[in-house]
Amino acid sequence: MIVFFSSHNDYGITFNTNLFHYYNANKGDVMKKRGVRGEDWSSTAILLLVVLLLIPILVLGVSYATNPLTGQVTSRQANLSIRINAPPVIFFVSNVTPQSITEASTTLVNFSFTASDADGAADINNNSAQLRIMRTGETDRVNLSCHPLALISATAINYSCSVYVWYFDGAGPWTVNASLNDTAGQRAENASRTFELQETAAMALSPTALTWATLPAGFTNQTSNNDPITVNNTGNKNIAAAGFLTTGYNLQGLSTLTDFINAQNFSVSPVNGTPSCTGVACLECNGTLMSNNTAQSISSANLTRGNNTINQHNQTSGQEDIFFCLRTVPTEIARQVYDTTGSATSAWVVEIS
Amino acid sequence: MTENKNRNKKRTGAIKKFFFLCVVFTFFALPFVSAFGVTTPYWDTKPLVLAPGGTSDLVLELQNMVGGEDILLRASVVEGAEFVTLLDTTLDYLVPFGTKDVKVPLRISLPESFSEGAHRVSIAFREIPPEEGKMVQMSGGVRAIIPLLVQKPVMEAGSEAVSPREAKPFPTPVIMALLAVTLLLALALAFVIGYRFALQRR
Repeated sequence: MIVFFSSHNDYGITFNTNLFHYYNANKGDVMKKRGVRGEDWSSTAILLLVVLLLIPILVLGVSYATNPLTGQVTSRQANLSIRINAPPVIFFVSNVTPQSITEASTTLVNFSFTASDADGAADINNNSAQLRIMRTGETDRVNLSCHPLALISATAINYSCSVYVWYFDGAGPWTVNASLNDTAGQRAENASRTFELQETAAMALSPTALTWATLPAGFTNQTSNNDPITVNNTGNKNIAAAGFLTTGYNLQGLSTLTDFINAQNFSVSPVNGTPSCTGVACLECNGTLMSNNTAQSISSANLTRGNNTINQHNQTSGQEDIFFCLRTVPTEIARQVYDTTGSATSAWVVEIS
Repeated sequence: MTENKNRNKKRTGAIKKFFFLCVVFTFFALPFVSAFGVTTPYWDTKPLVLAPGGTSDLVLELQNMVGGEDILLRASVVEGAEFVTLLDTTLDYLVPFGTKDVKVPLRISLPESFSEGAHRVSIAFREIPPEEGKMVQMSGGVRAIIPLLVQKPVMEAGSEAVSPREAKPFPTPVIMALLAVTLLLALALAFVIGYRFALQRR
């Protein structure tokens, strides 16, 4: 900084660090003057210099304080509060004894599970409680609205849940998956438990009697006039062709008890000809020959487990139709009524295994 | 003569009717549906595992939930009769409509010489139909199949069968603890003796 002083007299002033020198320009002398007049000038000059130096510093300091975005890092104290939501936990799922299906219907299986939340039981979203049972290759069975049963503690709730098992659901272990959310949407899930669904072989057949029209002796390939016998698989066991059996018995005469229409005169088949077929065109007349008191496997017949209500009369719906044919009306027997009510005969059997 | 002709006509007609009426099946009202089921605790993917000489008691369950009528079933052993016994004194089971827990206990006892491998037990349940009318009556049947896997107990290679007494485990942790205590005492004693000896020599 260069300071110019205008002299009001003939004195010029020069500065050095220690001593102010006055010289009388007019006289050309350097006069050291340490008198009151020189000190006043030097003090004032120093003061003025300090003030002048301080002003920008002060200005900078104030602007810095009021406008912290000067590129430099600033700090400020602030109170921050973070709430960490505790997720719920399902820590218990009830054990269930082995279950069996109900033929042609559903079975209600009851479960219970217990959930806890460190934030309190009220933090659990009861409307989200659900239970699912699963098995590979099977349709899941679900209850999406399990209901709270009891408050176990301030942080735990016991839930009750029931799931319907269908009669065609496969046998074996099923995984039990219980789940729910808390009010913050955090999910709890427990899939550690399984239960066993046992195997049930079950069937329903209808009608329970076969009829034929009046038959002349010697006639051949006479089909029943009220077949097929429809067999429904009402359990959860697949029945293969080798497991579809019929057992025939000789028909005994009502009047002449010693005359029979032998069972081997009849054949059975899962397929038939057209409604107007006659003779060998009726496929059931080329089916499996029956044998007296002997179970015969019906080839190509099978009963895969399935939903009978689909009513397709095939494997899709767990159904099979079987057709019967009297291949030959004997000529050597008495003309009378023959049936399965005699003491030497028995009802025919349609059997699955 | 006319009377004879009329008589002959009547006879011929009757014979013709009789000739054609050779076989008659008459339909009377019967239960329209025959239905029941059998539940088994073992099936194809969960066979019963038994060793030769082993015995197992199990229970089958009968149910009748379709048809609206009570049903009478007769049980018999179809496969495995030489080692399977139905334990009830009567083998006719009445299954009321609406029940699904009529129990059929049975026992499987294998002789020591029974061959290993896959076998099966088959119990047949056949309906005893009510006797009504004259017809070709149909009845239902279900066979309960119990797969049997016969195998000897598994032992480690090179080992011999041991008696229950020899098989008792050796209490290794207790012995180790005793050894450690003994060693510490021995060391302490040795130190004391050595210290005294050194003192005496001074």
